[in-house]
Amino acid sequence: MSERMERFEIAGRLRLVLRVPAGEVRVVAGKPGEAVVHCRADERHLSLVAIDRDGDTITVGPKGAGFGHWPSLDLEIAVGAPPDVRARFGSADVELRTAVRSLEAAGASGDVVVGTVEGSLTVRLASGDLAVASVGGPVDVVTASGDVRVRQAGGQVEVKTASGDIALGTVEGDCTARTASGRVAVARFNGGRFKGKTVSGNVRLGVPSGRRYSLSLQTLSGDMRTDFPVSGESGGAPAHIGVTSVSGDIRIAAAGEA
Amino acid sequence: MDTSVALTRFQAALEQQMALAGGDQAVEAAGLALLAAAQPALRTLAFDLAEQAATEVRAQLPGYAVELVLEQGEPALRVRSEDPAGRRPADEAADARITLRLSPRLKEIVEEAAAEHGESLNTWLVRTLSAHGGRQHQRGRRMEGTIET
Repeated sequence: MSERMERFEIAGRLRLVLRVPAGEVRVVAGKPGEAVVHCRADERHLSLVAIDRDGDTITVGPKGAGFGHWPSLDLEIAVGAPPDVRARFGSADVELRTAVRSLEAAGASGDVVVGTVEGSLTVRLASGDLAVASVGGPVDVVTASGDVRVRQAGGQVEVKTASGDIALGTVEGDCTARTASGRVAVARFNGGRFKGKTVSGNVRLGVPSGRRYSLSLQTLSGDMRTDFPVSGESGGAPAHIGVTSVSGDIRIAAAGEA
Repeated sequence: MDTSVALTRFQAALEQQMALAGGDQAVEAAGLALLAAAQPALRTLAFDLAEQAATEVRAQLPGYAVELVLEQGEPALRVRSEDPAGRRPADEAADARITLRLSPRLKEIVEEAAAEHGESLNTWLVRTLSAHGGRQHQRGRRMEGTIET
């Protein structure tokens, strides 16, 4: 295994564009005003990796065509300030150990682990899991079989999975969660509009006290429960909860119990 | 149904194959262009499958009508009972009877509540049960209303 290192002085807002067919990607905290790229791979393939800079944008990825099967590439980038990150990968684990401004990631397999995202988070995954500690802006995630966990979401959230579970901690904005067979759990929904949709997965939504919601729940064969008395007709309330399922159970609970 | 999830799975599988093929940006661009061009045909395929699913569900659910409708551009199955017993309790004639055993204290509470509303005990109970009975915990169908937390 050989290693290559490139150091860049960064005066403005750093943008990382990463293309990794297979391997591992880490973004870690570094010194202010610079970005350092460490790349490890076998010697032959290491020479075929392009590390380019254009303004405040650093691009890392394979050069041109004709690699055939690409072996594992280990990429670590130390940044002095939160960057915008765009990552595309075939089969790789991606870990952001330091805060980023925004993340746009798309991959076929491999897990994505993220600490703090100050702005928006957009992720498309086929089979990997996504785990995020905190997002300040909007969340837009689609996975096929991977699970999605977001502990704190400050903005609007839209998550879709085929079979992956969706587990959200505190959600401050409007939220849409759709899954076929995955489960949906939201510990505390502080937003104004929640829309959940599953086929066989259960939905558990925690709501804070002192709020009024219009409710529209529908299931074909699942069980529906709320911890609160349901009265009157829907409409008129400032916030709305709408959940539909085919066979999944639906529960609206006091926040913290979901 | 959400066709975008299935399309995402298809797109991810395609991207994985392109990535494993060597990371050629030109190949990737061509693949993505092909995928974009195939989107209408893929959506039509998804709708055809949804229609078949509706037919199969309809065959296995006697007494229910199963319809395939478009909801915000996505196919959705609508299942509704063809049984007239599914109407609201309040719409039916009040000719059924029930004997209720309850504690003297609860009887007093119920009588006081009816009196406060200026209603007979029977009228108050029917109205209250129609509004709330079984609506906090239901199996199947629909639950609509307002909750205060």
